[in-house]
Amino acid sequence: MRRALATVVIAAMLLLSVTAVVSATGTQDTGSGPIKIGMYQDLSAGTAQWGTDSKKGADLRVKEINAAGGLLGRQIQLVTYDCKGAPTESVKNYTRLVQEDQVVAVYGSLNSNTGLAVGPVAEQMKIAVVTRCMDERVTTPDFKPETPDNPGRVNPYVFLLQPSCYQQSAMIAGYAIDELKFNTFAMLFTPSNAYSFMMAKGFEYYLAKRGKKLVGSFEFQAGDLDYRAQLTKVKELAPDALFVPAYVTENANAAKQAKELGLKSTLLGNNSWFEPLDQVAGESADGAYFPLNISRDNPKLQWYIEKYEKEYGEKPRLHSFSGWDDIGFILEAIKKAKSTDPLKIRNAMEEMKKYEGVIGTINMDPATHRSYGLTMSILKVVGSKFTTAEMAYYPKQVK
Amino acid sequence: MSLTTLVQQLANGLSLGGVYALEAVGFGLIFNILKFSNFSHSAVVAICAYFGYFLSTRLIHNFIITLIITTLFGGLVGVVIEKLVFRPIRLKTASTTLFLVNSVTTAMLVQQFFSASLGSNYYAYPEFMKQTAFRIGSITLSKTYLIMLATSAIVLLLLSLLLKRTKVGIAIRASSTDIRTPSLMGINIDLVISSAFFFAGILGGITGYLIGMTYSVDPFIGKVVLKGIIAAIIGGMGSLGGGVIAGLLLGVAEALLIAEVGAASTPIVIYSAIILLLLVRPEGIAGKRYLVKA
Repeated sequence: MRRALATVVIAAMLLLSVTAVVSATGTQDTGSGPIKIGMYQDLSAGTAQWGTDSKKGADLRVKEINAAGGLLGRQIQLVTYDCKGAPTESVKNYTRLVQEDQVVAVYGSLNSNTGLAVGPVAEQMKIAVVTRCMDERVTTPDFKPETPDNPGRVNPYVFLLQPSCYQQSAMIAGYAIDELKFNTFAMLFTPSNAYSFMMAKGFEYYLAKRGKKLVGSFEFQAGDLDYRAQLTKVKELAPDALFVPAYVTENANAAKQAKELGLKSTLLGNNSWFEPLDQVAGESADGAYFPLNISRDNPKLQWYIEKYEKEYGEKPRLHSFSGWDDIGFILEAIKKAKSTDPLKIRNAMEEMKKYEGVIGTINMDPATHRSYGLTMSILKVVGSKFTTAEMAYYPKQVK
Repeated sequence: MSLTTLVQQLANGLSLGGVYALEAVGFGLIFNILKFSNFSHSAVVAICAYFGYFLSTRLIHNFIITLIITTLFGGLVGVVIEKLVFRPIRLKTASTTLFLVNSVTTAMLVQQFFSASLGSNYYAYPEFMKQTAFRIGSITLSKTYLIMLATSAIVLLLLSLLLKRTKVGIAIRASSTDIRTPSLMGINIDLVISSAFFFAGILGGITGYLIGMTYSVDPFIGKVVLKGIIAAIIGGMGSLGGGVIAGLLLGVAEALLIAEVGAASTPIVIYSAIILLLLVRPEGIAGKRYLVKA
């Protein structure tokens, strides 16, 4: 009896190990059952609001397409992990999605620090990642801030679906120079955050090319929320405008402290000056201008706003739109490739032209894996409310 | 740097330094008696920051009342932590290192708890005052920072009176010298220790409320105690007055350095100075030497 049991156990183990070996060397997708798309987002830690919004938008899109019959005759399944805004966690999530869950493509967190970590891994494992990581080095790893026109080689497996740091800082700098007629600037940023750092570099580069003066550049450390020392210095230098491209709490605190110190310079921001900045800053951000991918006043967005509100009972924030568009991009690539072969999907992404997202039309540049020609809205904070100063702005380009 | 800027930076530095001073004392109180570095203080700060937020936005909209309630709540939290985390191991005469480890794990537990349950939202205290700054000439003193400074001063004054004039205070000071002898004299050591944690908790409660009100509340708000711990070390473990002075000095040094040298170099300068100071004078500015430090 015992010997028989032992034989059965050993046979089962052999069978299982053979299956494991076979499936490990097989293709990613088994051809039946749902098509799996992976997603890792910041669902906790500092940028958790954005991650949760992205996930909601993504879930809604998948629900919609599944209700309409799915893709290639199969349902879509979204496998989600929380990367906690941490680079090490994102790498773990990506690896697990590829190896254990066998997804055909991945939608990654918008946090540039995580993008920089996952990029090289994606290049090895060859499953495409689409993100909103604005740091140029996520898609073109050899990018140097001083020579943005020579971005270097592209990471074949990472795609950026919104204007990059240099593109977005040009937006707000261009607007400040050409519309607000400012001449002198200062900036406050943190080099510990790739996104903040690259926005600052882009801003500096654009100002230099336009012949405008950067009178002071101030930094703060990760986790610092008190900038009164730096802001007192800025007050002394008295530039026309102060650019603060950091994350929401940091931006809000900078606005509060600038207001308290009686800083006269106009505040300029990045696309992290939107909700929930008003909750933290109250009326302190009054008078600030910043670029945003969308404006809720845009009539073309109303159908999505209503749809989202019906599903979740709250108005969509910026990344609620992102989730919808970005998963849509992956779905479109699968549709164009007419296959679930990850390589074919990647190729379809690289060749994507005129993808109509809610936010804008994406035309993928194969040399940089970034889109070109996207406009952004310029918002102005009035009191504690966000108003649209310009619905679709495109800055003067520099070379 | 112009004179007005210098004075402004001093004002900035002092108000932050006041918070560091509160932290240093809260930390030092426990170190004096139980001879370990109580990192669970950051847990008290975090809990009170959230408590104060929910209290002031959901129930009572008055600044002073919510501050007082949160402060007392902080004392309660301190006592609860003492009873749950430290008393059991004290009764088993555990080594000082175990106290330290327990305190760190408590701090991390609370931090992760908030991160998991409330982490994805930004919490901002209601605006208690409309005009948030006083202008004297071209110097700006923000109301919130002045309140921080004033509260720190008042609390530290009250605490020193308490330690010098009341029975409990004298018992705490006696226990700081030697924890066993007072019990031989008939003093209830358990009560003394609980009281110390209560007072430390009060300080943590005020810090949590003030920091939460001035910036915003997030799960990692407890990190501010690290600066206080550094101030306590510079000031001399064992001397509360030294901790206060060191806290203020640290705040001012930071403000002046950040503006001139930049935020990246400032910690390097400060920590190098601290290492030099401790090499020359390990007991800090005003401390006494101890055999066991954890």
